[in-house]
Amino acid sequence: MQQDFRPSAALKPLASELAALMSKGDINNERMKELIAVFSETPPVPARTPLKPASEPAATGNHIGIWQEKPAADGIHYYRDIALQVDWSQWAYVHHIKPKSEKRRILLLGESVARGYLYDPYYNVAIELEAILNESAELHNNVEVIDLARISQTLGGLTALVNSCGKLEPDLVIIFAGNNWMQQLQELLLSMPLASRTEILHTLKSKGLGGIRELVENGSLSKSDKLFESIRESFIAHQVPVLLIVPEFNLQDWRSNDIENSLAQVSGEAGIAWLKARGDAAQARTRQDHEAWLAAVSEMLRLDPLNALGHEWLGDYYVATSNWNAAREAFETARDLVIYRGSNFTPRCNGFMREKMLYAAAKNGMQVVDLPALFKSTLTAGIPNRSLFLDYCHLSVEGIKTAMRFTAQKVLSLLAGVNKPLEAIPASAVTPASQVQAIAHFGAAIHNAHFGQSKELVQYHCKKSIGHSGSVVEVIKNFIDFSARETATIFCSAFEDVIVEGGMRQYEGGLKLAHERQRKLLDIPLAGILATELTAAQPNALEQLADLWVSEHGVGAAPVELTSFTYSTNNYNEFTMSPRRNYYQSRTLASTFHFIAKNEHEPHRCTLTFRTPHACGREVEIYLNDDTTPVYATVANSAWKHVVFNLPGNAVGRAANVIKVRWPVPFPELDAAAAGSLEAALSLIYPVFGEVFSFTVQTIQ
Amino acid sequence: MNIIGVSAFFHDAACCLLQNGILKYAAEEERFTRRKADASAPIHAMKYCLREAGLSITDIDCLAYYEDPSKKLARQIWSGILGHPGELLGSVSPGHVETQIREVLGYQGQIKYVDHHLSHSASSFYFSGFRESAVFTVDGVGEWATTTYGVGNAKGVKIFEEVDFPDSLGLLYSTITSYLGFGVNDGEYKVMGLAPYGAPGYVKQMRRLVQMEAGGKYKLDMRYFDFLAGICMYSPELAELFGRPPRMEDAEMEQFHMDIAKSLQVVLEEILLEKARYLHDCTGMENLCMAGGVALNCVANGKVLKHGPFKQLFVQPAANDAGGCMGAAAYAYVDLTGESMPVEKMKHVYLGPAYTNNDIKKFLAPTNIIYTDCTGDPDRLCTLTAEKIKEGKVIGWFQGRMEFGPRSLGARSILADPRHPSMRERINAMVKKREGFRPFAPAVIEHRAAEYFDLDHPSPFMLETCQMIADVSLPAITHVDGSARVQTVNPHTNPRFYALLEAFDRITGCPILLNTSFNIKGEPIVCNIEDAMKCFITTDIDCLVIGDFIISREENSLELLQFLLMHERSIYSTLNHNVYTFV
Repeated sequence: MQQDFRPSAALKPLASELAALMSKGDINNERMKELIAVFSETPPVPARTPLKPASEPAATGNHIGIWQEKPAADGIHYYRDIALQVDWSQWAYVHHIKPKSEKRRILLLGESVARGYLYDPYYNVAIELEAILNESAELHNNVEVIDLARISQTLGGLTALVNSCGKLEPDLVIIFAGNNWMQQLQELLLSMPLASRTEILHTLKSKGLGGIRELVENGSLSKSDKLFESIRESFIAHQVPVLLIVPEFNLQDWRSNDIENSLAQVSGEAGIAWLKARGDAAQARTRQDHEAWLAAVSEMLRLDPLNALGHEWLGDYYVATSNWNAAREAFETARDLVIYRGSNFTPRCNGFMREKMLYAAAKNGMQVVDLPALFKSTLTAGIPNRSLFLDYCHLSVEGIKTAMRFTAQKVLSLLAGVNKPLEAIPASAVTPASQVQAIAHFGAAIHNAHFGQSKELVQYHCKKSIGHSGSVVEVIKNFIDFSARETATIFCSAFEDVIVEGGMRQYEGGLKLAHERQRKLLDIPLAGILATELTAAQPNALEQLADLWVSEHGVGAAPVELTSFTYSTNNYNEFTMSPRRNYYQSRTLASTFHFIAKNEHEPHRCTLTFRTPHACGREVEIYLNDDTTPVYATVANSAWKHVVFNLPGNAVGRAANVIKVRWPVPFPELDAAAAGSLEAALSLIYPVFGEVFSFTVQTIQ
Repeated sequence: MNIIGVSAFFHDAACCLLQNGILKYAAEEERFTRRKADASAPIHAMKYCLREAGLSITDIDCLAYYEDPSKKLARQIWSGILGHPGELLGSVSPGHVETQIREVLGYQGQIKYVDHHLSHSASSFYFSGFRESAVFTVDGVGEWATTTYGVGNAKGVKIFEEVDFPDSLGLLYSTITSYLGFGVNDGEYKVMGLAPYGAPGYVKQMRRLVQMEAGGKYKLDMRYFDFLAGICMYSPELAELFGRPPRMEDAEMEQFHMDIAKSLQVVLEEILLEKARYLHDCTGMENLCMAGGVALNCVANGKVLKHGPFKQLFVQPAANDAGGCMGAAAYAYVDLTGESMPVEKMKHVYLGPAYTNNDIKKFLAPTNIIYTDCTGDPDRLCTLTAEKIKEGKVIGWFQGRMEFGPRSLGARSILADPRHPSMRERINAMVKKREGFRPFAPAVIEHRAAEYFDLDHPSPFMLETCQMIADVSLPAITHVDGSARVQTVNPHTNPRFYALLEAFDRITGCPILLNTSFNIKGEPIVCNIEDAMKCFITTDIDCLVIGDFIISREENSLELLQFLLMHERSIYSTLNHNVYTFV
């Protein structure tokens, strides 16, 4: 340390010399190595112990989740803390937890799946389980289930809850979680010291995406270990039994999105071959040519075994041919291949995590309800689908009832010492009202659409919703209204109506319908489906929707930027690049934009500034409302290119129009050496096919 | 020639567009991201500049960056960066800035790196309207320099002497700011506002922190500072020197803290005055241009002008790092074209985005908000607004293009009656939700300013303080020492604000309004319609005057919106305000 608490002035010229050499980027320069050694060996000015501020902030009160401890003569009561009101919608709608009574007390901890997401607070997992148990002869009216499940509960949050909730004096603790436990690729990268990130690149080179997956899975291990330690110390060590429910996934109906199944690891000619195989498979499927279907899917898998799409389509093939075990295996493989966390990653408990949970449970003396195994053995085809799930992991009424029967079977064994066959444990008599079910399916339609699921699945939930109760129509109308508005949803009167009337309370208090700043979806496909389903009750629903779109978003003489969030996507499956780019990036083979035309057959002018990082000299094609004939094509370049072209009036429809930019192939050859940064490493794993700095549309004057 | 200027990656990221030497558009990134002092690549600000200009990125001839990354790296290496963990080293890799410009901003063309203090110097001189001037920049740190002495003339801007890191008046100020419990690069204004309440009882101790040396030099006594280690700004010795531990944020503000603030202010003024005299001796010029964060200390600036040798002073209104983008762009323009920048004084700071009445009406249409529509009748709008202000109402004023720089100057302002005895306390507590001592500034009709203030020239940027001279009581905008930080308003640069002042004068005989920034504590100034609505709804502002529309709280039931907005995820500053990573 220097006498005057600063580095030596004599080092300044050396620092300047080193900086100049480093800026030139010649890493083999001997002088640079010498200088680095000088500065690496020069310790930084040491920190002197920071003084403590005059006073420390007051310690937070004793909480269990959102509930704050309030001692009274009859014991400790817990009330929701008004200071945490912002979080209330994430937890059970219970204001007061009383001291333990004579009843056997079960604590239910978990994630949104344990919340009964989309039915809660009118119906949920805790209600169903409590009802089954209280309707049983063994525990008749002598059980209370304290619902401590939280939407988006993290591993850390769950561990903290485990550490705090023992004060509620449970007789049994149930943990229904695991969907949020897998570390995602970006978390892994961000958690790594910079120097260790090269490990990613080496792994990618030597083991491909499978190796990356191993890294991600191993990274998840250490995170969940802390939870099991806490469970052991808080409950098992005190002879409180713990029951772990391993979640199941909607294997048959939930599909990887277009980023998750983009051609990440196939380059050059193999990429073209994969595309051809995909096209062949789709055609064969349409004509039900099973032999050709299997051949094409097999080719997809040969070319890219780490792409979820091939496995999903193989699963479909096996379902079509009634090969249930093989189908389940294919769907499970597809589920487990998704390791990338976009802005809207779908939680899941994959095979690796399930094994980990089963191992940890056995090691720590925990009981297990292994839903994947139980569904596999008890369902007719062994493959869970939309009848059990509202989306990827959240259970339908049927799913909740089935899962809680399995759970009740274990609870009866643990608390009453009886082992009853499943057939002897009926579901409860509690059934959510038709209005509640209608809203749940409407919420599911939104949720599925916002995750980019198929039109057919979204339609299914819309139909189920309206089928359950016609009263949902007014809520849907309000949704269509505020979705179509340019104004942020939170300000829209239609949204206020939904909140005031409590129509979407099941959707995280209705607040889930709002959006982040500047990230409002226009929801064109979803609104279209909803309006179509409304036509029975409101014949002109589609025309009204079109009118609303035109009045709010109709393109006029002023250019409208299509790369804005509103016009460049219909879901939240965004590739998350941090920091965000100043331009639109496509990691899929085609980019879809929308614009609203005021008049049918009105020609429009487009300006496009774009580039293709890898496919120079090949053509980018623009399609309008049609996938067969481009309305414009131009040669791509790695430098920004600015072009102006017209959209022919005869192809323009009134209201919603779709412009597709199809990026050129072949794909970039992988070059791991080029991935020097975190962003570059991600781009290597999920390459960019095209970039758009600006894409505007306006009417032609 | 289209030149993009960029400041980024330390704090106050911003972007501007200079077209053929004319500054057309400028905005801070924080206004768009809603992260106060956002340092990230100014992607939104850049998009805004290009969109408004109708340009594509291919139309940009040069991107001028406000620092030299290689020189900055040298300073960071010297400070010990190579002894720090790899993560920190990675964040200062030599190619970081260019990578960000290429990959995040997507710019593929020519980049010019302009030294940090040269950017500051250029941002002041080239917009001062002076043909020649001495140039004095003072801030925390750029590359090596923390204080520079230079000249600007027809040949350009040149720096002839500098003080290097870690000796820094900006870091001295920030260290005391942190000691007083305020955020670094965030709370410096608060210290300046606190100073008038104190007595200079700690001047002697304060002088021990910085030793004056010959010429332009000075030196910090690093025993009292710990920012080189990157954990805390001050060392334990500083508290020993003052005899009190550091104040914790939100702890009670005592007379001691005010005395420290006053003592700092006195010492800062002494140093600036002495060094300004030195600069005058070196240059012999009668004009002075100042820039850098310390140049936003308008009290000190006033002393420099009043007691120093210079006859005219120009302080660039975005004198902080955000304004560096302007200087970098101007410097690059001169360098690339060989031409001089137009000799024209910067007239206004309304360089940000504007929203039309149609935009506002469209925003309001699907809401339950009740409003008064004054479209096409600006006189009525101003009269109704003035009447509300007279009634004691607090107004959110959202008009025209957003200001560039840290001051709200009548485009994104909160306005109130300066005569009201409790107005300052009310706005601090209920509207701004900040410390009660924080002062407010007056906006006054330009040609009436001399009736009320000891001011003989326009002060359009609220960068000068002067004494109240009129025998009227304006407690809400007058400091305890009888001074005020004045903004003069003329009908040419902000006709609507001027019309409002006239309307208020007509009905009250007072041509002055309290004017403060349209934001709440911890948030950037509002940028767009949605921001203004949110700020209005979640605070105690009585009335929002937005374009030609007046929205009154008393005519609306806003409780539900308040509830909903409370639940909306808030994005506040992600910066660590305990210390900046100067290494």
